[in-house]
Amino acid sequence: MKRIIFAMAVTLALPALILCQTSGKNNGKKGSDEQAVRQAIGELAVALRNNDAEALDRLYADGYIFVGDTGAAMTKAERVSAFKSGNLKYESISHEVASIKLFGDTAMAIVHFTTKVAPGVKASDGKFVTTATYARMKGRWQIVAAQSSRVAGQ
Amino acid sequence: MKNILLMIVVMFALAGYTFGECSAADRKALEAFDHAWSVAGDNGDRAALTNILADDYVGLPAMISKTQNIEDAMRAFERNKANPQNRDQFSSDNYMISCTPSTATITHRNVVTTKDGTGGKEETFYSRSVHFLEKRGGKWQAVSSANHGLDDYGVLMYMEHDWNNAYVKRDASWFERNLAADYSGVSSGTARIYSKSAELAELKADKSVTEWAGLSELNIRIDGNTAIVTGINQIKGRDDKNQPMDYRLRFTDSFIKRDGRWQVWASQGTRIP
Repeated sequence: MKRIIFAMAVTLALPALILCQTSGKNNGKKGSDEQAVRQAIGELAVALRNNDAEALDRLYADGYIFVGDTGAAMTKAERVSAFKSGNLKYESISHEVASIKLFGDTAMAIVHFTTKVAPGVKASDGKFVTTATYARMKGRWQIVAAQSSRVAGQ
Repeated sequence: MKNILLMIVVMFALAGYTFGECSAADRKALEAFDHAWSVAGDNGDRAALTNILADDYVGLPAMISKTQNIEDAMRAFERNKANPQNRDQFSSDNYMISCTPSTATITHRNVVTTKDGTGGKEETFYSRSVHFLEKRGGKWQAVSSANHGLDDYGVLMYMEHDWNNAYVKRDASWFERNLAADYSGVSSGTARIYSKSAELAELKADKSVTEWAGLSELNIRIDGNTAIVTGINQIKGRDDKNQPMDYRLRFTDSFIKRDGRWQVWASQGTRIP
């Protein structure tokens, strides 16, 4: 019985195993990928700072999901729309990349953000830690998911 | 695949509702029947297997007869006896059982870890079995059994549930095995960044007691060897000051498939007010 289960599981798992990636062995490539992700994070920070909905639409992947410090989840459309309507507007944003890890065409970055929202906007200022997942799509790094938490006491 | 899993869950929920006759004691006895079946195979107990399987038993999808099933089990037993260090580790969990006075359905997940996986490395496979039983001559017998491997969506869904179970039990070995070496977690309370070793240390030091943890709104997205799972986790128990706690976290978990198995690469949760 167990052998049958095992044989079936192996059969089903083989295609995935054959296609299995290995993490980058070329350090130079890894370095340039890391640099490209760092640049993409920088572009995102600029777009947020400038409340540039058009740039955000380009930087967010189509399936982008953002979870903010209230635990609410927003899709790409909802996020871009909030900037377009002015419901979300920053006066200033600064960021510092804490770490970037790479795995094939996926990158995971931890970024510290300090934000100040524009007067009248229903969002709070503060210091946040964000885990951002990037994927290389058609040669371009796009952010596919991000979650942000407020640093305690900030 | 997600639809198939959902259908199975709905099917068994409906079966339980419709039949309504399957008592807790019946379910316990049927789970014991299933364990006895595994033990009989492990021990190469031909007599027990002959009793457990009905004469017209069929193993699906390969249409394996009772005789063939028993012979396969005996061969596996002899192989394991000759080479015990390479014996596969097998366990079953996540049982769903329904029954009437004369029929029963048992379904469970199987976890098989083989030391002789791809490239000679240890490898774990997941599947789900569905056994159909009939009571004949006053005793339960298996009349058919089907088994299918879990796809990546199924594996990740179970991993999230296993993670919760491990957290409730403070099972550090689960975290040791399933967090990637370069794991990063961000605390839902303080936004402090945790490495794998810091996460393990925190798990051991944490004085709160989690009595129950439940998932909802699970959304699994897979692209090749990476996956993102979002959802809500509700935690109930007592905090480090022994005060009741009940809160919900919205989480984003990133997984990577490294060395042939899914591992948690990053996790961040945010409390929902």
